[in-house]
Amino acid sequence: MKFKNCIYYAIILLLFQSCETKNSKDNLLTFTVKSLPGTEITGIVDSGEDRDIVYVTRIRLFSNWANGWTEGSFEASGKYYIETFGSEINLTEIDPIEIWDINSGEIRYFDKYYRNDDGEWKVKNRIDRLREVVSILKKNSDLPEKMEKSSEVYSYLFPELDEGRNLFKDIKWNEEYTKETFPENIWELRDSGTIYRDVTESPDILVTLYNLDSFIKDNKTGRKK
Amino acid sequence: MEGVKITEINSGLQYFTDFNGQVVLEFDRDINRAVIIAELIGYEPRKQLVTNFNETLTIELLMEGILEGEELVIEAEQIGETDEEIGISTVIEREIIESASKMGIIEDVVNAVKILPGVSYSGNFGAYMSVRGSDPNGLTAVMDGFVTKYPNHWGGAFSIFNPNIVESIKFSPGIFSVKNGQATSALLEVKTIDPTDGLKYSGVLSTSTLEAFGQFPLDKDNKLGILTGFRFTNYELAMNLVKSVGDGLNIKELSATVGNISKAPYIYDFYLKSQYNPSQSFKWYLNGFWGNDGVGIKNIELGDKTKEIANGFNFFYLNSDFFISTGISMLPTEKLHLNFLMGYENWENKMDANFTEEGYRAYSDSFKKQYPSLPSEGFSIFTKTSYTQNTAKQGIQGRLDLDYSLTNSIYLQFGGGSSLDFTGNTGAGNFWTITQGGPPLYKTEYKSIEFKPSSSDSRTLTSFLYVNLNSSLLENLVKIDSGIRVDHSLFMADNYTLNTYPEISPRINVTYSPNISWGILKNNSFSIGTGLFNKNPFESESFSKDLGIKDFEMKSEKSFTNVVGWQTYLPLDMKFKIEGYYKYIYDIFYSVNNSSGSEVKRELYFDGVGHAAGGDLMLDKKSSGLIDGLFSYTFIYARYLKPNAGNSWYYPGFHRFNSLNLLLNIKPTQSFTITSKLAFATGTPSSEPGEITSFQAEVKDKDGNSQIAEMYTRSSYYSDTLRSNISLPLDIKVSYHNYFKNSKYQWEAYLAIQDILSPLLSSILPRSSTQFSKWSGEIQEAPSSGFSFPIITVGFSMSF
Repeated sequence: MKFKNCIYYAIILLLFQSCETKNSKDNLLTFTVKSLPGTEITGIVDSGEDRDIVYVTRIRLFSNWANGWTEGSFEASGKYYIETFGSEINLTEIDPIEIWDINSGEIRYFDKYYRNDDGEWKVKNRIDRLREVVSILKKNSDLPEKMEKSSEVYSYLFPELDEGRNLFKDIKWNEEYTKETFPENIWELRDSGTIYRDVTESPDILVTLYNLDSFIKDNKTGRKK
Repeated sequence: MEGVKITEINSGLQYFTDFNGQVVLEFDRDINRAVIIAELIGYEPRKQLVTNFNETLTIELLMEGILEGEELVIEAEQIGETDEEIGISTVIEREIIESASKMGIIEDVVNAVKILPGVSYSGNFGAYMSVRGSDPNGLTAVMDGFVTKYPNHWGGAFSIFNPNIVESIKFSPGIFSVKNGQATSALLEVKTIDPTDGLKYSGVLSTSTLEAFGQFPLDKDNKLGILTGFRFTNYELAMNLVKSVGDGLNIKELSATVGNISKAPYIYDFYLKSQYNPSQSFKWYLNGFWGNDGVGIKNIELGDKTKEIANGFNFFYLNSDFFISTGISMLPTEKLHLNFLMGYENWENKMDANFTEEGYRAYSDSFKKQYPSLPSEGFSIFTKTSYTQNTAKQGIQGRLDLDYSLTNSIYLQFGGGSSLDFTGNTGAGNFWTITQGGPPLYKTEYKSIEFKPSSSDSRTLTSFLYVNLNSSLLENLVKIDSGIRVDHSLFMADNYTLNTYPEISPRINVTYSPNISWGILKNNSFSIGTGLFNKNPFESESFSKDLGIKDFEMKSEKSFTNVVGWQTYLPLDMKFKIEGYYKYIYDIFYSVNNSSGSEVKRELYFDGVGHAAGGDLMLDKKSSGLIDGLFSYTFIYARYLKPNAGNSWYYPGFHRFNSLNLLLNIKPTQSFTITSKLAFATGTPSSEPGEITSFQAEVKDKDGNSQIAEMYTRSSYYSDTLRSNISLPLDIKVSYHNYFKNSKYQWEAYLAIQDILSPLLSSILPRSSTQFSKWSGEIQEAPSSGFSFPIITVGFSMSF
């Protein structure tokens, strides 16, 4: 079932004057963070007068499951003070990470590969849906601030799983629960099983998106890649 | 869009788009990144990162409350779904190929074909399949349009088609289009993977096989790619393990079975495909395959003091097949689709066999009583049979197909092609056999017969033309596929040519798909079709002048086939299909060997006929939920007649009344799959043994001295009622697969057990009693065909 209610309008043409970049040196750094599984963050390190600053430029989201994987590379922004201890780094937030446009995307589903424009489109849509799911989860005060595994939210997102799987068919979604619990823009996605597939096929991406705004609290550390 | 508010976050400055939806923002030169927000009532606010200040930036807004939710396909594409037609063909899904083909000692796509309706059970080691009562030679296999003349390993036990390079399989036992010919029972179309979707590679290591395949893009746009790989199978290690187990557990039959292997069975295959898709309207591809296989069996009893007359044999078989083909597919105009293919194949087959009998045996009391004037108390014997045969075939083929769209729903298809095959046959030998002489004495003798196949180099030119009309009427309510095909063959040898009359094959199939449902039966389709099919006998490439066939006497075997069918869809994603058929098979080729003196004379005939009728059904559950799979049942009634060989109706040797298959994939979790494949088949015709009688035969001992041997013989007679035992193989495969953490590498470990029920069946089913000792006349219990023990395979695979 496809979700085709959106309508795009091209609205703005922006012209910018050229400018000079002011980085004192180009020094790319890619690092991972434990609470953002499967994710790689890339930025440019600027050695300031007092402290080093990393300007985040890109984020790679990745997650696999038993029969495939999802990978997307996105433009990103964010700014952190950085201290390096061998392969470990300490980050202090200046501006939080934000994810922007997709650069590339690929999905493997069993033996089928979605690449190039098709892959990019599917990954973008998947990430958009997962971000919407995260925004819904964040409004639920009963859920923890930080997620360790995606299964922690199954009882809220998919209570039907407690009833067990039908022998011959996929899960039967409770449409009443959908309407009572979720906003309207999610209804068809949940009742078609799309959200379930997004979450079970990209669990690490869900965890990453959920933890993205809070991972840096209390000088969280990461590892250089 | 006019009036969109743009806010630059850092400075807080606000701007608004003009009538054309444009606005210019100014930044200080030292700014290298900026974040802006675009807002308009009724639309979701959109944040945008700006890093390039020299380009025009377009921002797209989404209506408020709408989430882009194009769903990822949850099931693999129904490969070839649009090609499957009731009454004509069945397309095997990728899931079925994976589960049915990748089980057993050799991964072979034919394992998935064998479970389809219409296919008569051919055993775990039988790639030669009888389809709807026709001879197995009536099946033709095509790989990406290239006709493969001998696509088998180990004399037909397995095919060359590796599931790791196969995208889809279309099996057509019905009224398939006149575009394809030289097939009387069915057409097997194998489509290989298109290597133009990026980098992939995989490897498999199992008990006896190592496989590796890789697909590599050759340009950055994935328009040009290459797929290559190999399969190495060698049973040396597995045989040694089995023998060790047999020796350790004192299972003599097990040790003896593998102890007779002198050259462990092996298969070495190499694959190559390259494809170039510069645009939607043009495709070029190149396919290549090179395969080798062989086996050696040896049994040396000579010198075995426990045996009076000991046998020794040494048999060696080698097979090699190479082919390369290339083709283009293009749309010169919007309405015309053109396909061109050409290719070359080289096949060589060599057999070398030696059999020896040696020993001394005392005469039995009954024999001495029957022949009181025997010169001694016993006899010595030494016989040697030796046989070699080398067959070499080369062939080139080419074809051109054009599809022209007369309207949106009517297509005119026409084309033609030709193949030129070169055959070389050499060989000679002798074999010892018991012969029955003619009148007046009808003397039974044991003699050596010289055998020398006609050694010749021959050429066969086969050509065809066809025209076909494919139309969908009344918005796909009725589909009609009708056409006519002409085939001609010219056989050439030294000072010798044979023509066939042009063989005309009209065919028509009509499918009616009313958009009506009957309760739970939805999307019903009905079909009816009839047509003529023909195929040159395989042996025709070895014809020679001394066989006495005159010009235009040679005929291709023909089948007048009629099929009706019905297909419907059931709840729980199940599809049901049932088809009934009748065939009249005629101009069947057969030969009769007449031995006189020490030579064998071969006489050829093209007047055999046959009737085949029956029905088959299939219930197919698509991949979803915990369980999916396929169930099929085939009933076949087939009777043949050879006027110059017995001249009485009989069930052919490959005939089985019933074949049933059940394939189930059970997935308790996403990572864990249990696949079970169960087949049931009633037996093939079995001859009725006559009385065992003794006779005295003149033989020679090792020194060349004449001896009188005590020997026994028994005639066997065709029986309409006797059948071999039923077959009930059950195969189970348990596999666990997953990905390494944060990795694109998938791994799978599996354990497969083939023919689990074989020990039970061997112990309870009656054994054949047709074998007896020609030296003592004692009945020897013969085991049923196939191994009497399960075959275990363990494997590990990885893919990227």
